[in-house]
Amino acid sequence: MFRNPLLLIALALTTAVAVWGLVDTAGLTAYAKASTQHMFQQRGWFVMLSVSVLFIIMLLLALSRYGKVKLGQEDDEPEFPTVTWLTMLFAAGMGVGLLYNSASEPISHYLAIAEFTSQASAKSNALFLTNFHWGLHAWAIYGITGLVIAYFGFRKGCPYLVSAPLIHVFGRHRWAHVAGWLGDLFAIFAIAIGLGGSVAMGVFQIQGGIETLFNLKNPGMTISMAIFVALVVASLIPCMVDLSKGMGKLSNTALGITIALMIFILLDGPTHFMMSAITEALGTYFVNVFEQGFKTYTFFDQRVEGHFFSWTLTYMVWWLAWAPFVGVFIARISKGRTIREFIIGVWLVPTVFSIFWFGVFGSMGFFQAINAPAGAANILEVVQTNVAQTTFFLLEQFPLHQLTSAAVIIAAFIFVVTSVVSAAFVLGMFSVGGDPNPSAKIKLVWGAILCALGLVMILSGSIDAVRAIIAISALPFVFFVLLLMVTLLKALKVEAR
Amino acid sequence: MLTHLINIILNVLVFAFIGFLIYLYLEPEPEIEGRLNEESSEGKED
Repeated sequence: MFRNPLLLIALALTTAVAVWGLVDTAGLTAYAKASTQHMFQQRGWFVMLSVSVLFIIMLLLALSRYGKVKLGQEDDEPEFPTVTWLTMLFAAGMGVGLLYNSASEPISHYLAIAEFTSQASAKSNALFLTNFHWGLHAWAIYGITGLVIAYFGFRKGCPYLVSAPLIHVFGRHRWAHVAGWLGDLFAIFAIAIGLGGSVAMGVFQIQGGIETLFNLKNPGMTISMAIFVALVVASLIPCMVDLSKGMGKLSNTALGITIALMIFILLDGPTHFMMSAITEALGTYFVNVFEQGFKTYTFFDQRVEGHFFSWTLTYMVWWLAWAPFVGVFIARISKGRTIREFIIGVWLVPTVFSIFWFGVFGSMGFFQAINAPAGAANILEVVQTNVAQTTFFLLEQFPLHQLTSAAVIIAAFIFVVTSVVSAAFVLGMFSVGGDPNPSAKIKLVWGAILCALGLVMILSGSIDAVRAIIAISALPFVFFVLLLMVTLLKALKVEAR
Repeated sequence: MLTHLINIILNVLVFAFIGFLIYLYLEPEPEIEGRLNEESSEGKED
C-alpha cells in the first residue's frame, strides 16, 4: 500500500489540507476565499467557456452518427433496467444538495435580483438561475467524464481511471503519462475535498432539521458534533465490510423519500401555482440556457459579479469536483447503452427532474413569501438568518410536518453516508491503479480522511467557506475534463472511419 | 508587479492549453489511428 507514490502523495495532500483546517480553520477559509475570488476574476471566463463547450459536445454527440456507438461490445446489453439506471445516476449526482437548496437557492437569487428588476421578473429569473446551476451544464460535466470512462472502459478494456484514456490514445508521448498521473492525483484531491463539503452540507441540513423539529435556539457546536459522530460511525462500518448492494438500496430509498416529498407538496400545495411556475420555468430554461452558459457579467457592477462568482462559477467548479466520482459511478452502471441513450439518460432526464424539483419547492417558497400574514415568520427572513432551516420551515406550512421533516433528516443522513462509502471506494480504486476491488484498509483510510475533511468544513461554520475550499481544490480538474473530451473525440473520429 | 507577472504567465498557459487541445484533435497520428482502427476491427470480428 505504501509503495504507491500516487497514493502517498494524494494522502499527504489531502491530510495536509485536513490538518491545516483543523489547526487554523479561519486561516484556511480566508485563504480559500481570497484565492477563489482571484481565480474567478482572472479565469472565470475559461470555466464558463469550458462548460459551454462540454454542453455543445454533448449535444453534437447525441445528434451525430457517433450516437449509435455502444459503450461496450456490440452484443452487450444494458445491465440495469432503464428506470433503475436513471434513479441510480440521479442519486449519485445530486444527493444532499437537492434537499439543502430546494427552496433556499431560488429565494437567495430572488433576494439578490429583486433590487435590479420587478418582483415578478426577479422570481422568474431566480428559478431560471437555479435551474441553470443544476441543469444541462452540470450534467454535461458529469456526462462527458462518465462517457469517456465508459467508452474506454467497456469498449477498449481500459481501467476506470482518469489517466487510462489518455495513455491509451496518446501513450507514446511522455506528456500523456505525466498528464495522466496528474489527472489521477487531481481527481483524488477533488473527490476528497468535494465529499468533505458534502458531509458538512449534510450536517448543516440535519442540524437545521433537528433545531426546527425540537425548537432549539442556538445550540452551538454540540449538535453538529453529535451528528458528525453518527455520520462517521455509519460511514466507516460499510468501508470495513462489503455492503455494496445494501448501499445501492439505501441510496434508492433516500431518493424515493425525496421524490415522495416532492409529490406530496405538489399535490397538497397550491398545485396550479406550482405547475404554472414549472411550465414557465421549462420554457424559460430551454430558450435561454445556451446564452446563459456564456454569460460572465463583465459589464455589470461588483454586486452582480460577486453573485456570479459565489453562485454560478462556484457551482460549476463544485460539479467539476464531483465529476471523477460521479463519472466513474455512472460509467460503471451504463455498460451496453449507446452514446445517444447515455446522453439522453444522463443529460436530459436529471435536468427535467431538477426543473420540477426546484419548481415545486422554489415556487412554494415564493407563494409563502407572498401570502405570509403580516407579523408572521416569512421564508425570506429564514433564508437570510438560517439557510439550513429553509426546507423545514417550508414543510411546517404543510400537514404532517413532523413526519416530513423527519423524512428529510433521514434522507439527508442516508445521502451523506452512501456518498462517503461510494467515494471511499472510488478513491481506493483510483489510488491503486484502477483495481475494482480495493482493500478494506485503503477504503477505511479514505473514509477517515473524508470524515476529517468534513469536520474541517463543519468547523469553518458556513456553507460559503465550504464552497470556497472546494472551488480552490477542484478548479485544476477543468483541464483534465477537456483533455478527456478531446481524447474521446479523437477515438470516435478514428472508429468512424 | 509579481502578481501581474504570474497572471500573464497563467494566461499564456491557458491560451497554450486551448491551442494544444485543438492541435491534439486535428493532428493526424498514424500510429494511434492504426492501433485504434485495429482494435475496432478486432471488436467487430469478435
